[in-house]
Amino acid sequence: MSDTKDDAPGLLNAPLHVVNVGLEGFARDLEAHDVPVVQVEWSLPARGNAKLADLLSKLSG
Amino acid sequence: MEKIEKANEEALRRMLTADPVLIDVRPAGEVLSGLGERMILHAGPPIEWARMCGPMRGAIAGIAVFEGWAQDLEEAAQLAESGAFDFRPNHDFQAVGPMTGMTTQSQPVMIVENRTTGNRSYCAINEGLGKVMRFGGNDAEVLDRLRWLRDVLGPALGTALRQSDGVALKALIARGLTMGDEMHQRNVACSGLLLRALSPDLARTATDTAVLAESLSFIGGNDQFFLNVAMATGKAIMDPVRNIEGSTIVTAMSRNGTDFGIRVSGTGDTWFTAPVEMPEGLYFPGFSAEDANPDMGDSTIVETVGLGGFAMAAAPAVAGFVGAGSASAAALFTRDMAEITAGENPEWTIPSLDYQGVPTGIDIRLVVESGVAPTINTGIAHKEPGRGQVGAGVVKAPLACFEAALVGFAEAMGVA
Repeated sequence: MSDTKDDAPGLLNAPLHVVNVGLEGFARDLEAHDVPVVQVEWSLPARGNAKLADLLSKLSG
Repeated sequence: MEKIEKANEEALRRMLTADPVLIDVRPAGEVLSGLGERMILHAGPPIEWARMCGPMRGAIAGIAVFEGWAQDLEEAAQLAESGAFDFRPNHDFQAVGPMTGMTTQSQPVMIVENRTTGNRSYCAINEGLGKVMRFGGNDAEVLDRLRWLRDVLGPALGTALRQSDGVALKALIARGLTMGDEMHQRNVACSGLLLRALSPDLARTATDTAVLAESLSFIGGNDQFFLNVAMATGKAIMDPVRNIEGSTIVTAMSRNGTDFGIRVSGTGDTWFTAPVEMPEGLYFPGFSAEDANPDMGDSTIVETVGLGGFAMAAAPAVAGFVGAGSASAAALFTRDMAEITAGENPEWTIPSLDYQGVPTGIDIRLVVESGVAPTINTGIAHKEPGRGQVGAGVVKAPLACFEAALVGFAEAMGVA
């Protein structure tokens, strides 16, 4: 924990290196402010549909 | 589940070992078993007249006049509404058709034989660009062209092909991919390669040089001539993949302008449908999205075998033409499709991706899990009957089809 506290000022003062996972809107906002972003496409399996996710689990196991 | 993995391995094996060859052109009524009088085959899953979109209705009215079942378009539409015609999907007759996909008894159809399995598939001859029946065109110019295809080009192609060894299509498509075609919205290279293969036999069997010149000119002047051959190729590859118990591989994707439907190997010939999407793309001068009809045609059989939108990286020019972005963005489409497919085709490779094979064998499980929908390159028809093509674009297959198919498949496997 103490390391985190010590590193915090450096994190805020140094150039940001961002990896955005999921919703692209956050990445676009940062890019609009000239912050380089690596976008990782990710979404909930089966668009968050629990029934389909359960079937996928049964059909993939 | 091991049973599914093995079934899908078999499905992929059948796809990759297929050997499609263009062997003949014959009137549909001679070769499509069960195709009868006043029967009209159309693109997509089954649909009745009341739910058909404008261009589909326009094409049906036109083809009824062409076949002599009605005196004019008005009478044809009345007959259609009264139930005088028997509407069936092309797919139920080992056939496919682009856009509206009209197939009737006197139209010449190209025959592709899968020499590995012996099955045959059928597709009408591509009419060219502009005002054509596949986009709902139905005026005198459209019908006259269909008569010329029936009376002149179809018989000439059939005669030439019958005295040849046929045209091997797997290798021809492989070359086309290295020359910038993806076989849905770009068929420039493959149309040229096919013309080169056909010309000597057409010349040898010609009895009239004027007819020969007209035939060569028609094929040479139609950049999309090969599309219908590619579609029959796709159908010939996918039909033997049907009915593999336990397989989650998609055997057909198709649209009728109202519904999008898919078939899955393990669930046989059941269609899983959802409303079609609207393509996003570029429009010809004078037209806009306001004029567009939703997605339509059996041509998605080319995506089903890994071509079209799945092979976008091979055809960066298409990405611009269909409004899908920059040339470099074309590779992203192909990479995305690799997320939802069981493997790749080592004989259909893409130079710009270091000769990666096209993504092959759409697995409904991967589509549902990832939420990545198959990408389709497509033409766009005017929403009103008789108007024709207004643009080209990209459209996504509706995820709802794949979700419904997953539930249906799970029920068939007894795990729902």
